[in-house]
Amino acid sequence: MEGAEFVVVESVEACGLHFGGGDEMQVVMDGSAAHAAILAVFLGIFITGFFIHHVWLKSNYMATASIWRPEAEMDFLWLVGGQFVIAAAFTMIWLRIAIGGAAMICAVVCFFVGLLCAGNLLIVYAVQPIEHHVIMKWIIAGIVQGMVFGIIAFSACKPSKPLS
Amino acid sequence: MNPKRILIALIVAFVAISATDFLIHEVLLKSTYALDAGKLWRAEADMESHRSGMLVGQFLVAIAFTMLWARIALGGAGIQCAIALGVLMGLAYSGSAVIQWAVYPLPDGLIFKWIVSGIAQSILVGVVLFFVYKPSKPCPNISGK
Repeated sequence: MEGAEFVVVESVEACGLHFGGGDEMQVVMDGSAAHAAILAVFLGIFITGFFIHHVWLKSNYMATASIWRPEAEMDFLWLVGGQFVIAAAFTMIWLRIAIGGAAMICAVVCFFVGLLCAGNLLIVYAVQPIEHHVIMKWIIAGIVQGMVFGIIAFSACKPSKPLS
Repeated sequence: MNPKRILIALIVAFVAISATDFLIHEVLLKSTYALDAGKLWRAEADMESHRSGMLVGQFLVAIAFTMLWARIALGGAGIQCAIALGVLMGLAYSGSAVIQWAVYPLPDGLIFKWIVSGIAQSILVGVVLFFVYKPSKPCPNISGK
């Protein structure tokens, strides 16, 4: 809706972000919905991450075993923790930018999140001896995960009710 | 959104990211990386040949950061919003660093340095963007409603 502004009360004040104070329309979001959105995005990242890294890329990783930790040493809790932090950070950014926006704005936000991932992966490729085809698969996977993140966040972050 | 100002902000963000990356990774952490050169990291000559990939990556990060800020600034935002965006972007980077620590045999202490420097760098870029691409409206006082 052109010019509409939105206010998130509980979760925004918790993290210090403030929305623009337009006077066309304001929508209050339940803080628990924000928490549910973070959890939903985290589950999306976790599940897609499993399929990407434990199924699709498993053979690639086994072929380059010398640069990874041995599987017994890989700390699953830290890995899941990292995914949760990423989910929380991007969901909070999403809440600030895209909530209540048109689907096109949400798609654009997802695009730039995907771009951010691709940029970081290119830097990783430049400094670590990762093979070219693995990086390309990571970038494709990152874009797909960005789209999944966007669909989940868009579905989960609908405003609960308009102010009268 | 002002395309000309966005372009200027993008260039400034890219310079800020490149400059801080140089300071962090090629000055502060150089000795840490040297211990595992050729194993965890590409050898320096190999890295130089991939320098263009690094610059493209930094530029893509700058585009994403700038456009996300431009969207936030559209609705009005104070410097605390810029800092908050920097913190959140830094946290996203930190999450990625933690995942890397889980799967790579990184040297002790490196992950902590990455997290601290990543958050500081992101906050700096957020603040720089605030001053270069100023919001059209000030940050509202929600508590005053």
